Amino acid sequence: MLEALLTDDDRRFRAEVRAFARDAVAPELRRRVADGAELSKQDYVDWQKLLSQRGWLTTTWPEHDGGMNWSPVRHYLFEEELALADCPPVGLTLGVGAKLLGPILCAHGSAEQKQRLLPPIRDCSVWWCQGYSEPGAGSDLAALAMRAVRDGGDYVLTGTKIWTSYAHWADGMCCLARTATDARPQAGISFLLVDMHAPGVTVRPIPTINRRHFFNQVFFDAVRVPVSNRIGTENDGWRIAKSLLMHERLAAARVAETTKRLKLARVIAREALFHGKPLLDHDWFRMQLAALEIQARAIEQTALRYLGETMAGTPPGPEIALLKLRGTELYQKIYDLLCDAIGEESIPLKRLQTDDADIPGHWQTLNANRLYARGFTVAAGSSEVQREILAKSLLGSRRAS
Amino acid sequence: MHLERTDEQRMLLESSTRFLQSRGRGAPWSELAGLGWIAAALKEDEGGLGGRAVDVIPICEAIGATGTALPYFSSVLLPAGVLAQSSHFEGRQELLQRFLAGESKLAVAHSERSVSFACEEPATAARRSPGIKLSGSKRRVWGAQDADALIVSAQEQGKFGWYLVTTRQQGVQILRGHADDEMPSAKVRLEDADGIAICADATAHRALTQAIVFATIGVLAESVGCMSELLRLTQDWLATRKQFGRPLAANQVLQHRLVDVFVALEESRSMLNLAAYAHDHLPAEDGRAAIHAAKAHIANSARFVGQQAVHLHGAMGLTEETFVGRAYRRLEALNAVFGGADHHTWAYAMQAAAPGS
Repeated sequence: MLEALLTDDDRRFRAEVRAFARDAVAPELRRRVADGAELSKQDYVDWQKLLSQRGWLTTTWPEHDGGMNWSPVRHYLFEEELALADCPPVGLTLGVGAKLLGPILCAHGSAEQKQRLLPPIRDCSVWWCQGYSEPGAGSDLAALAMRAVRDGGDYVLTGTKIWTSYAHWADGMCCLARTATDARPQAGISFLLVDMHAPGVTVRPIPTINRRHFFNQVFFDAVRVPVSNRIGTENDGWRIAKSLLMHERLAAARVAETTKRLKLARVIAREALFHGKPLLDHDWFRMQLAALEIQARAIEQTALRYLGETMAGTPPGPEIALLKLRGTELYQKIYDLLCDAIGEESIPLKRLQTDDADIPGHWQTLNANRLYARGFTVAAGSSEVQREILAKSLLGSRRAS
Repeated sequence: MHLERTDEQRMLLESSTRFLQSRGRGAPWSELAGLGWIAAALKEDEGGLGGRAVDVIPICEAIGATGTALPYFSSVLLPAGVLAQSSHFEGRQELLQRFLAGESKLAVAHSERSVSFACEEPATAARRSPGIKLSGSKRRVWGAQDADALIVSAQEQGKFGWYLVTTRQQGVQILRGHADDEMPSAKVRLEDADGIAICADATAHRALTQAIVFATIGVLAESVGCMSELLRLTQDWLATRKQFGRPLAANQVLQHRLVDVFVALEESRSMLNLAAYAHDHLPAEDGRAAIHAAKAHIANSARFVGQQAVHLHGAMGLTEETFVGRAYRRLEALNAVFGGADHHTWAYAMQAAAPGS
């Protein structure tokens, strides 16, 4: 139980975040987030600037770099409250600067790099994207092939990155590139920061089946990156990129997002009619919804148990991988149920019609979000990768190769 | 039950696939008519060449396997299904001829409020003054945007009936959908639109259920065609895509997943055969449970196959550029049409619980 983990101070903290979340988002934006509609870059930037004013964009950074020094419980409460209040999401995809690059710079950047790069992340004046995956290196990231060849004070980048979310919005990319080819695959990789406006960078959109634009392929044709934009030492990029923070592993459970979608399912089941009465009045539907709600509780309680262990100084080991595994699978199942609930209305439209006012906004986006959610079990360590982590921890060397 | 494909059906599948691969969605309707695709949906006494499930299944499978978003189930099978139950009405012969020749496109306007086409009584009203006038609103009328005439369900003094309404008249307003929607549809508003009664009462109810059954079989066949192509592509992908220095196919967990996909497809094919048999050989009442079972089972299978194909292709499977992603989106749309797995599992349970079953 969450309440059992909270001190009185934590409860006051939660009330403060809740009040902020309630007042800070304009009703129109809140409705679009609740409806699962597409937001613009400006929407995200405005929101991140607002968080920044309170120091809440960079909560996970060390305190002396502008972070909040919160306990894991507070990080958890913070993310929960913002999500439940339909604030725009800021995560590893839409907050690459604050949530991914920032902590990496704080841990591995030089004093000069921190001084130069942290302020524009802190006030969200520069938009970053993440370039790890390549056409031949997805789950098998160590197979990446993009070359960075040293030439005087620069690296010269040649190659391509793919599935780069929001590269078309980005001013900079933090990427992995191969700086040595003779080492074992993981060893010859460096972590570099690329100016997306530099000559030789081309961004090609990759349309997705939910008819939204977030994926891109980025081509690098002899792009020059100053050596001063390498984070950490040469060939040490793998270790830098692979470090994930505990609160991110907990967040992978998607507890708040799941809770919201299950509430949405109840709303929709009251609106959608099946044989003349609301779906929610049909036992077979309530049973299905209940089964998903029960599964959601199992994931939430596991996340909270791990949170408690972390607070007690005995953080979980590899088993924490199950949160991403189960959280993403449940999220997908909820969207299947949501789409099933609205039946033929879930069949995707190219564009929404203005006269479709009799179809609620939160119905119209379900299919696009369902299709998008299929990526959750692929990205950031596929379900197979998570199971592999768990299998290794359970069997170790007893696994015959 | 003997339902092996005849040579004729195999040839139709092959020629349909070839045609769709070369001509695709852009083919004019009259060309489809010339291939006999509309005639396949009508019985001989209506001027057609078939009207059985087995006559249209190869066409629908080819549509599914080639990923052609051709509105066959909605623009051919649904209208043919209703017309098959109609007896004589003025202009019937001419209408059938024009429909068969691909000169007249028809759309069936039924659903109004419910989330499934299949399960509601319309509120659209028909009245006589002295000719028939129809008023009401229909949503998700597939193919309405380029239909010459609508086949509209309505109530006339509490009696359920079907009416033919030409689209080029004042009382008909068609709010167009978009041409590249997954299944192009439009909203239709009728305000004292002129119509002709084509059937009423028990016949009209039978026309609705039979049209839905006929078109459902088309939807199921399209799903099966689509799934079989997904299996083929996924097999190839697992064999050629390398990860961690070896083909994906070297992973036992993925081999077994592929087997599960194959099993789902095999069972779906069997259930499609069952539905076809029920439609072609059993009285409607006796065949209903089989149709529900087939739709439920194939919808579940299609979801599994589609999702696994996408997953096994990684991010590639989410893109508009690959068949896999588009096929999964199509499969989910086909699942939703005429009710998904839950709806039909429920209907099957009701059927099984009915007295005398």
